[in-house]
Amino acid sequence: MTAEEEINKRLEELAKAIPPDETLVKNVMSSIAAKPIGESSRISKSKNKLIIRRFIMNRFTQFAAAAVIILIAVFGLTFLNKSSAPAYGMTDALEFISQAKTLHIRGWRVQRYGTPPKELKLPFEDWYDLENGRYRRNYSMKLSDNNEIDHSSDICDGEYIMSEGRYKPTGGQWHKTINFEKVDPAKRINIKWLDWYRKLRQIEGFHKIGQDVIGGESFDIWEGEFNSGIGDNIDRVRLQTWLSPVTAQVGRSKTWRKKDNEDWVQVSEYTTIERNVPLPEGIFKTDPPAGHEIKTAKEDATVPIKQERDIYEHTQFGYAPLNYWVEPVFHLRDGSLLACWQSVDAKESRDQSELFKGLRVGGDLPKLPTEIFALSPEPNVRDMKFIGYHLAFTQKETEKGKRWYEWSLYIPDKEPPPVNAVLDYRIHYKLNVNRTEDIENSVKQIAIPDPQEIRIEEDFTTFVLGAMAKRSDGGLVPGHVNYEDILRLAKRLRKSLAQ
Amino acid sequence: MQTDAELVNAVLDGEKQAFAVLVKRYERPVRAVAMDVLGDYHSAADVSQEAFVKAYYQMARLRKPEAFGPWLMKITRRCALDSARRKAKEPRLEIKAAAVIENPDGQLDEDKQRLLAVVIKLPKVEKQVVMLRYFGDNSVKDVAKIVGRSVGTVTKQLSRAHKRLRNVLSETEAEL
Repeated sequence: MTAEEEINKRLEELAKAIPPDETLVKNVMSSIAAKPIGESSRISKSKNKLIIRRFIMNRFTQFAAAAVIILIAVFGLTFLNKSSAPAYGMTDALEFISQAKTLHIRGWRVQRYGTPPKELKLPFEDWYDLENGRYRRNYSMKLSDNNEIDHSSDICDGEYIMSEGRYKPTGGQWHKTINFEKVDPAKRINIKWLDWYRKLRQIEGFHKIGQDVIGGESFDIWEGEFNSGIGDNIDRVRLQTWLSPVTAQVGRSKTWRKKDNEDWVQVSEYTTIERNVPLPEGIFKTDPPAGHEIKTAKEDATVPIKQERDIYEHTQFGYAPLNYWVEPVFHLRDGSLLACWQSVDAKESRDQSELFKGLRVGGDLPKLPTEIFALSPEPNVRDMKFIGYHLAFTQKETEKGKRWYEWSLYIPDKEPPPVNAVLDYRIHYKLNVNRTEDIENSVKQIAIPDPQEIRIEEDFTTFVLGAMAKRSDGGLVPGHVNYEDILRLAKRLRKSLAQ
Repeated sequence: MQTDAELVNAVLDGEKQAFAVLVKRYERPVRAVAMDVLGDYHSAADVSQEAFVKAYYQMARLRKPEAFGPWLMKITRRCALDSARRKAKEPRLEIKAAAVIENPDGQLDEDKQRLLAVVIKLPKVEKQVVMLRYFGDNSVKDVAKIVGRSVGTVTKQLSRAHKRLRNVLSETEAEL
């Protein structure tokens, strides 16, 4: 036995003497289950306070501490204009909200109606059980032909969504309806999809504008402005949020909108925003109310295509006859994006297979009629783009003929903004056609919806491979597509982009 | 197989299950570090759990996610030393008696203790690859994936560690 072999053997024997402890993983995971990782900084803050208190209570340091406190107070009064720095700001509020297990939001929203448009404030109340994917949204709306206000609810029990609707046959009375849908597991309610939370994510634009007291508690008022909408339909949005500097509790939130040079119009006010409150008994029950016409019964409910499109958004932009679709988009753990897109030229009847020949993984994109060569975040504070590289393609026979789907990896050319700070992603495309009438506006920016986040391999298998299988004859997935290899490829491309 | 850095980033992004993978990966290396200080399985197991929990809550302070392994071992060693200090203050007889009753086979034989002590004193990069290779039952290729280095680099580091172990052991064993 060589010396090398001997040391190898001794190490193996030593390792055998320390066998795996299967209970350890379980014990560790149950120890950390109670508290999210973000709590740690707050624990250390309170520990620091204790240390300071102990220091002050030491009789030998009392005099020095008193002197320091007086100096700080004098400094504070003189230079800080009687105000002290808040313990919690918008970032903390976002973190607190994102960790909420339940949410209760109440307030009013504006319904615009008539010509010229009038505004009517209508109450709403939402309950979210974010841990179990349940929600209840109670809302009101003015019916189109009279002054009656209709009160309805959308309820999700985690498995089914029961939505109330209404219709009026010509010359008849209003009928209330019930429609059941099955919950798409990928579309389970998530705090990030709540409109208000999405607005708060525009954190980079928020600043403190004043203070207020609600129910004896002091709140800082934070204000932010940003654009909302796509294409020509862009509104300016102003959001004010009352935030307790002591608890990071959000006490109130108001939203205004305006178009171009019009005046600001307040469109909503959240008067109650409560985190982790007990949920009232039975509010997520999906039993149809009496007297409602059942459009789709629970037993017939399916996952609707519309729901899938919310995640695997199917958008058709561009101008006829050149169209393109982006569906779906995924956000990978390393900050890259993975998007599926296709493009069809209605004037061109040839099979697109030629365009996919000779493509290299990590190389140029296929020269489809509309080529989506980059994506960019909105707002784009860092002026960056995600540059597209070919990853794979799938093909499927559809009612409209054979479709070719390009799956591209979009690599950030600079450090991308945090996911929380991105409201939308924009598409940058160019046209690969020779017809002069189609060449104008060859680069456009059009928003795509929130990408599905892929954090672990299981997400990748479920969402990315699942989406690929859906867009492939026989549900076949390209053999070279696996999570680890894609992350490695992304790393390599990012490195070469940086150079 | 995900690298340590990827798993650490996933944990920081709120994926608790990624931490379970790290615990599985480092469970035996961590216990080996604790055993080197404490000398018995039961105390080492307690300290290992404490070290993992501590690492989890302090993970936001880890500046280089790829340095998770060495960082965790440092935490473990500190926890083990604290535990040893606490135990030193307890009545010695009670501890010995409890150890004998509860854990008749709870200690490594002298030969293994010596080897472990030398492994623990290896430079941190070499210690990490040795720990992952032997205590984690990983192939060299897997170790390379975990630490995010090339197979060639890991092979060299293992070979250097073997050489160092051989040299130190032959010196200490010659003294005996």
